[in-house]
Amino acid sequence: MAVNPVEAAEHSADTPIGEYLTFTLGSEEYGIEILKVQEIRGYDAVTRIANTPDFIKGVINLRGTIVPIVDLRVKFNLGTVEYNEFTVVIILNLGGRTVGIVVDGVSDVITLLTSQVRGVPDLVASIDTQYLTGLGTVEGRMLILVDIERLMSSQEMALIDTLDQ
Amino acid sequence: MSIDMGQFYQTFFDESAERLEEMESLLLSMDIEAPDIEELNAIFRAAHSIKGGSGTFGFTDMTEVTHVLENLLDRLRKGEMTPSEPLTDVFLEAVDVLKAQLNGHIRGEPTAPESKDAVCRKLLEFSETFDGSHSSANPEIDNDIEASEAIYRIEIQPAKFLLKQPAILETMIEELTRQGKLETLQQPVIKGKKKKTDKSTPWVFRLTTSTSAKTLQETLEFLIPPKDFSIEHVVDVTHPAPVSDDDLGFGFFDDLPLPPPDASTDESVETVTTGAPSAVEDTGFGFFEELPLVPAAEAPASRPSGKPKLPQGASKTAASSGNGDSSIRVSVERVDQLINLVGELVITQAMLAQTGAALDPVTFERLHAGLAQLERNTRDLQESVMSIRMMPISFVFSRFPRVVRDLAGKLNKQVELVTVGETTELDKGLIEKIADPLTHLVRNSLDHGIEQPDVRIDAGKPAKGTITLSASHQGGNIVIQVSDDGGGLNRDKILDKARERGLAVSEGMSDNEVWMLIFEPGFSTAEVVTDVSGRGVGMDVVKRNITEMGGSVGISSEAGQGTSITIRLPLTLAILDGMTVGLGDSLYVIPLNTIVETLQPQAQDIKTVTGEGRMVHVRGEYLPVIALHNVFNLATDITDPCDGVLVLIEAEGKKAALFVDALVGQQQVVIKSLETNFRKVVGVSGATIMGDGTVALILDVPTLIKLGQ
Repeated sequence: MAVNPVEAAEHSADTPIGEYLTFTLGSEEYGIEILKVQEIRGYDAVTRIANTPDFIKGVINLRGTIVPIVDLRVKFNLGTVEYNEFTVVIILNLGGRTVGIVVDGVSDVITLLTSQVRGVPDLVASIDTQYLTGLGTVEGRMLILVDIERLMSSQEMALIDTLDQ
Repeated sequence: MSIDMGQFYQTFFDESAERLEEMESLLLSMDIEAPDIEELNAIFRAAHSIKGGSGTFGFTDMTEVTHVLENLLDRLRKGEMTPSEPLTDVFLEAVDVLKAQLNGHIRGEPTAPESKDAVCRKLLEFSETFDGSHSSANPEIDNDIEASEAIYRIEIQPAKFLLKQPAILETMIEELTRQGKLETLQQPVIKGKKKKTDKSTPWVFRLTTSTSAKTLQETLEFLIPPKDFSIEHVVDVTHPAPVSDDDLGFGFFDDLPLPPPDASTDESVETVTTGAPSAVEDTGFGFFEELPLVPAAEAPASRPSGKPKLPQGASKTAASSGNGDSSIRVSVERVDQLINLVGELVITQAMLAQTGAALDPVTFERLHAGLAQLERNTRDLQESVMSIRMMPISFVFSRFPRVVRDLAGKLNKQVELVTVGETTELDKGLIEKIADPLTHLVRNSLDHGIEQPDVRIDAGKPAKGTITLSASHQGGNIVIQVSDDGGGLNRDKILDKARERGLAVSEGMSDNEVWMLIFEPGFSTAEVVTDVSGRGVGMDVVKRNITEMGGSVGISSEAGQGTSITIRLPLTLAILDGMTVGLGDSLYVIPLNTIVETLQPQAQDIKTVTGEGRMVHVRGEYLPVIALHNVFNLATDITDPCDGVLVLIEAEGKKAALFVDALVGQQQVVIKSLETNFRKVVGVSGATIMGDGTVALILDVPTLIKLGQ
């Protein structure tokens, strides 16, 4: 399902705009900048934190650091929420903070070209369009490009102190 | 500006702050009666480097103060002025002003010039007062001939610091070149592979200049201690001596150990020595003759002002001149990163050990041996990495001589401060946090503890009171003690005051319980509220701060004998003694210092108010029961306190009973911040990683008690 690099090179008039890690939530495909991704790991040993929204699953011990885990499937009501050995956590590094997100599955890393990216029309969705940077088209499939840093530091994610007062 | 100065600013700030600290401590330890010339030199050098640095960076306000300060210090070390108590006070004030200015520059908001002007004026006043004595003390400097060209012979001893810092010498040569024509007649030979400098040969320069000897002297003194160099006025070019100065110059300056012709030892040779004006009585005759006669190798030893430490330092100098400083400056961030990495390693090691333990010890003998070795190595590594963050407590103690001195002066008391165990090391984080509470305690001891001199004499004690600050390691704790030999706490007065404030007290309370009352908010038995203490804010803050650090405070006091306050702190902020409790399927850690006791209640001990608000009856007290599963909205099978465990917790003077499922165990845990990657969670002060790698939350007891009300 990946973009063939040879095929991508054929559009040489286009300039690549960056590499994206794609993952699925339900039937939708999302893309986030690869440079924000620290690692991908399985879901396990999450310590629940009281009185937090249900999409915050709790915290894990990531080699000595306490990292909060957010389940994007719960947050956006997408996909089937179950936790087993196939559940995937993407550990993100966002401006000095480390956060993990639970998704349905990680697909690939692709390079997007400017010609493949379109603007986001105004629409009503549980993700505010202000957190979307564009829509990519790859082999006829639509890729939703998310500004993950803005999204995770937004007020609705309740991950950061100063905003929850 | 083409170069980015930002990186240099920080270095300047750090160094200046250190130098100011150094100046302050030297000033405080200086013996007024017999000041040590080395100490004066050190103070002078500190002031001078700050002046140089601030000049470079354009902090003119600091340059101004240091300049005036430096002039005075210079005259002090030359013996032109005598140190006195008021002078030291002004110096200390100047140091304070400099500190304020430095902090202003660090924050980027310059300080108002008033304080600077005031202190400069005071310093100048001293300078003027001493002007009279100055001119009579050093006639030879004032008598020198201005504005006419003269030749000077400048001899510089290759002292330790010069060899270590060749830059000083370069600067000096540069300075002198600016003054006139400079010739190098002799310089120390560099011998052998190790580039060991021959310390017996001084540098000798000839300078032809119109600058006066006095100015030259001052130029050099900025760079080199006065005892390490001498300037000899050889001849005035404009008023030539009977012998032609070329001939004289050569005969004189050739480093042959030949005595110069008698003709050259006439009036045209003047010796200017610093710090020993009496030497001039010989009119330079004897002094001058001695120099060329003595073989060069013995010259430094024959000098009365030569450094006594010279011989023993010889080999050390050679080694250190190559290696530079033996310490490096590293940012705390990097150290913390290292500590975190080692923390990860320790956890990985624990996981391996757990996995390994399940394997058959006979078949996997080598693996087990390796794991044991790994455990030892990681523990050693962790210890040494933790020790990087450790700093001696002298960093805190060193501020108290000043505090005590200022305060004793203000209160007209005579107090001596004794510090014990300054080398005791504790975590840098703790050092920063303990400073304020300790200052409070010392001020309190001085204000309330130590009596006025006449009262002390009446009580048969020496007029001078003593405050002792001591620090030591005891088990896994640091114990810091502030004790005084004053009047001690007054039991009746404290009890009266407590009743007045409506606290529950009785005559039957033990002394210890009574003493602990002074840590109640708003409690002060001082008859007069002074600007020092007596408002009753303080002791409760002290106790709260120390409890926040995971420590505890205790008091012992005896009427007429004095009071001693003992602070116990954990070795580092990163480790906490905790009680692990279970709730549903999760674990929580309660800081041990907040736990009074744990109990399994009987059904009849549990009472309710209006059918809700459960309370437990313990030893005559009714305490609210806080069910942790309600606070945290957790599902658990145990909802009746009689099936679980009540942990009696206490914080900020309030008690409550925390209802949990079970006690799991007591252990030391490493505190991890939740806020690094997440946010503050109500009722939780942090997190920790358990032996199996899972995360357990540490309870925030004061908040929990508030939530329960």
